[in-house]
Amino acid sequence: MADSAKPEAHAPNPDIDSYAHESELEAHLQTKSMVINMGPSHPATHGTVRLKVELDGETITKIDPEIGFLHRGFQKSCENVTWTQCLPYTDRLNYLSAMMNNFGFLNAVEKLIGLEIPERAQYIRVIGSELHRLTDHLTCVGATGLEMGGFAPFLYGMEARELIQDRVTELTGARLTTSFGRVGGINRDLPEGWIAKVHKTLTRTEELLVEMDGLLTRNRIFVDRTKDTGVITADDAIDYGWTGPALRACGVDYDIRKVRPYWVYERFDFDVPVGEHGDNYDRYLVRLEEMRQSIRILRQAMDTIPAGPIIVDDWRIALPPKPEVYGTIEGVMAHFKLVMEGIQVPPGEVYDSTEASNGELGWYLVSDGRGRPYKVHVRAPGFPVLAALPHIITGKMLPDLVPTFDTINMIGGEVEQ
Amino acid sequence: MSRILTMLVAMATIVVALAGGVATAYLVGGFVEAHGFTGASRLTNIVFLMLVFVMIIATLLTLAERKWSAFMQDRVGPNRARLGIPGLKNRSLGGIPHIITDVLKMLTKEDFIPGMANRFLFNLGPLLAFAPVFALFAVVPAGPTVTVLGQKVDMVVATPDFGILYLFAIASLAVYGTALAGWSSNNKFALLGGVRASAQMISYEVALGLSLVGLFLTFSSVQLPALVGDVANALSPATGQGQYLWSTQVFGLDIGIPAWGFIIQPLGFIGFFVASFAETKRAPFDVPEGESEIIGYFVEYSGMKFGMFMISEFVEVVVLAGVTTALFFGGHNLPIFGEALANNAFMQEHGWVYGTILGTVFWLKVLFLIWVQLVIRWTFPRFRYDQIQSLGWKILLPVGLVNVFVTAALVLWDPSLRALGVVGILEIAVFVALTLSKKENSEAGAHGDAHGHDHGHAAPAGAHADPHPSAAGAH
Amino acid sequence: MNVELVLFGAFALLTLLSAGLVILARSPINSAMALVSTFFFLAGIYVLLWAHTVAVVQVLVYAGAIMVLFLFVIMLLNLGESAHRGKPTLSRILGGASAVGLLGVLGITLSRVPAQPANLGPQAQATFGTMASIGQSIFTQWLLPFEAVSLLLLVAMVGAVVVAKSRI
Repeated sequence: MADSAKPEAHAPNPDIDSYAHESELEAHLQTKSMVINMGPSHPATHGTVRLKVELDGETITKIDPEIGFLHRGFQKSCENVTWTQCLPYTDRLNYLSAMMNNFGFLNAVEKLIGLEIPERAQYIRVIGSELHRLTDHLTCVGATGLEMGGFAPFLYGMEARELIQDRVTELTGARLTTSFGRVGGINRDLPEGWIAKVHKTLTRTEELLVEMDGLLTRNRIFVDRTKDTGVITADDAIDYGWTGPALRACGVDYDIRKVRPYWVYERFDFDVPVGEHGDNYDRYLVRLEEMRQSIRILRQAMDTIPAGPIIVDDWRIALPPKPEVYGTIEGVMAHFKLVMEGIQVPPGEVYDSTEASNGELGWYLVSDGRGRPYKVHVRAPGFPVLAALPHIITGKMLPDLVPTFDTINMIGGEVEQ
Repeated sequence: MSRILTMLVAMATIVVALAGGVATAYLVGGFVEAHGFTGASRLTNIVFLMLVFVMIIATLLTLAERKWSAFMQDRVGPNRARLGIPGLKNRSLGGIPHIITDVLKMLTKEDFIPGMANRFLFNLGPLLAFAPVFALFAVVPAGPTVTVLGQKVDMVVATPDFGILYLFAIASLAVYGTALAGWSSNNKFALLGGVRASAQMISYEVALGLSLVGLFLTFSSVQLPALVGDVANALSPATGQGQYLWSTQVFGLDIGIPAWGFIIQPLGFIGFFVASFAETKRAPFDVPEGESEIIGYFVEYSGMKFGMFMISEFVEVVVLAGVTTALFFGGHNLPIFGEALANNAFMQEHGWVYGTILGTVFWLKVLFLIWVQLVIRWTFPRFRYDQIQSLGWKILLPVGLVNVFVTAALVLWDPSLRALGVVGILEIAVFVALTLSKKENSEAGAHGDAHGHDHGHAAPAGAHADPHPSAAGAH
Repeated sequence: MNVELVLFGAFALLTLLSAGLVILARSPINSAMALVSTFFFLAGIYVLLWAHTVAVVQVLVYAGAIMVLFLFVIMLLNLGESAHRGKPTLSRILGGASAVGLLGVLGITLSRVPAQPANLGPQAQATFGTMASIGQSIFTQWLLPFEAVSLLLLVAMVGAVVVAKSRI
């Protein structure tokens, strides 16, 4: 059982020594804490993270998150492939919102090149990002309900997510690992009639959001379990480097889409929900509201998306059109060079970030001008959030760990890279 | 549309099956009384009530729960298992073949015992969890006492003098199975589950007992048949929940407000329902299981031993519904027309027909309460361990005490129970008003301001603090 | 040799057996479970004595509540098998002495029990041991002692809370 006995030989053995004591009645009650491992394979751990929890009764005295079970050598892998070939690796970072990783990476590369992408491509990137923000939040909010025992909200969330993923599949050709977009724009335009379908999907999603909201937001048990649990102050959150919905729930109005707008975000009318108390309930509410705002953005973007090219017309960056490849020597040359040598990103380094579903997704890229990244570092928003978990949860109860772990929404793929 | 039709067909089938079962039970009971020895019908009642009705309903409940939860969650539910019989090959039959596949799966799974586990207690755990639950139904009357083939036949296994105390005594033993299963598995998660279960079940026994005291006071009995009572007939006045609080005659038929438990004892009903829900360890009280936190006290069990825990949970649901029906929903009594039916010449002549009708009424009420439990189970998230304790000790216990005093005073003041009925109906009205007002508040509050989302912690939901979340679903 | 006698013999034997197990079992949890079955068989004997209420209260209170708390404590403390046996400590000697004393008192009392059961009359026979009669006597004849006992329990409960509170 709870095997926390110290290894020293002369240390008293709490199992038997109290009974060996001559005056049994006066002996102090021997207590010892229990160490349990939540994960790496545990229903409440998204991805595979191991939480080593030391319990005093049901109270957590110590918690030690152990990551690395999903470590894939992301950074090193990226150094061995061309810039474009990094794209599939970025899919696997936050596998719930792959497009945001794709676009974030591409954005950083374009900044390193100094490239402005066509307007339509920017719109498509906004649409793709917001769709995946929806799926990410739906999963998070649904899982929060699920892991507290409410199965229905989760399945409502899943239904909406499936619908959105169908649309994502139609757009990118993949459900999860989209590898969408290319340096300089987008590799594929919106399919015929897709916008109307997305509008319908969003309407259904809104309905399902109302259902989830009705089941959880005013549910006394849910409120009791999430309010004032997993609290972190705004100062602490900033100190730990929190970003995204988790930080905004503490009352810090920091959203990169507003603070430092990229693509065409400044053209859309949307609000950034900000919480107050930094507890699980606020994080849940912020995510719920962000989904509504995402739907607003999506509707505006789809209504105002301009016609035009979807990728820059520069054969050093984007692949030439197929007729050119098959018909002209310049086309073949450009195609060959791009495929074999990759995009020749000028030497230099850059840090760029976008607002991913869980916070600031930052990219630090170094290029030595040889067609392959010299260094790709990703600032995963989940990492600082997970790092603060011991600070939040120590001294609280074991059942509080589950909603807290849910609402901070640590994603194994991006934290463990 | 076809789904609604299927459900209607299923409901009709259930009613016919119930009526058939009850009729068989009465006729067989009368037959063995006439041709066997006196009291033989009690033995057949064991077979019919505890084996046929409770077990079959519990078995079907494994499917019904999944189907109903699917219905609530926009899913189809289990429909993949097919019977390889010509004509039925391509029919899902509402998922019924899944019951067979589940049983086969459990029987053929490896019966794993953890290496360092206490083997004896590990094997004993599922049995101790199952047996008490199964024995609980013995004192619940499932139909009236009628004359069949010239013999008095009743629909109850035992009518001990201590009545409902039997229920408490046996229910209090159910905790051993859970606690021992958790302890003997030699698994920390299971141990946590076992500890949580024993703490929870012990605490709620207090509230459980207290919530029924008001009912005992009202009907001055602890025996379930007396609490259920009978309608008035030529020989005797109405007793128990068979009596009316207010009634009138319309075209020779009696209608009125019956003295059912939940009308005259709403607080007691809510307390009892919540407390017994906690005893069954189902959501929202499923912290001993808590599959996303500690996986549960049966984490190490597999195969049929795990199946025993599962089926005992479903039997608990049926038993709880049966007991609640008998205590608070008038048992086998009809809400209206009861006297007209009882005094009908045909019914008096053919006692088994009368018994069949009322027995079916009882089981339909049981099915309704099972359904209520399913809805609650699939609507609410799980409590936290300490919230369960504070609900039990800080809310249910004082409410139960208040209920005892109020009931005692009202019964003393007005032995006809009408004062109690008025107070009860007022209480129900207050509950309904609270539930409704809460809904309006939430709509005004939640969708107000998009930016900032100012949801102070003094949110309207907390204001009324519906202390009985399960009961809110029941009303 | 009627059914009652056979049942009594069986219950008595099983009670003694499980009571013996309580003392002899090495693991505290086995002891506790043996104690539970002791209570259970004792309840059987009560039933044979027409003391139904006492029997059901025995199961309800002792087996269903108090022993669960025992079990709870054993589980929480995770008591292993006691490794120290046979060492005579002061408390063991005192405990043994008091057990012997109790046995003596019981023996003396048993020898004074009249051979014929007292005749309580037909009236008493019918209502003997029923809930109603017990309730009647508790709340009329023995009201004061009953309330005194409940007050005592309340004091004990408050005391336990106060004592435990200071430790938390």
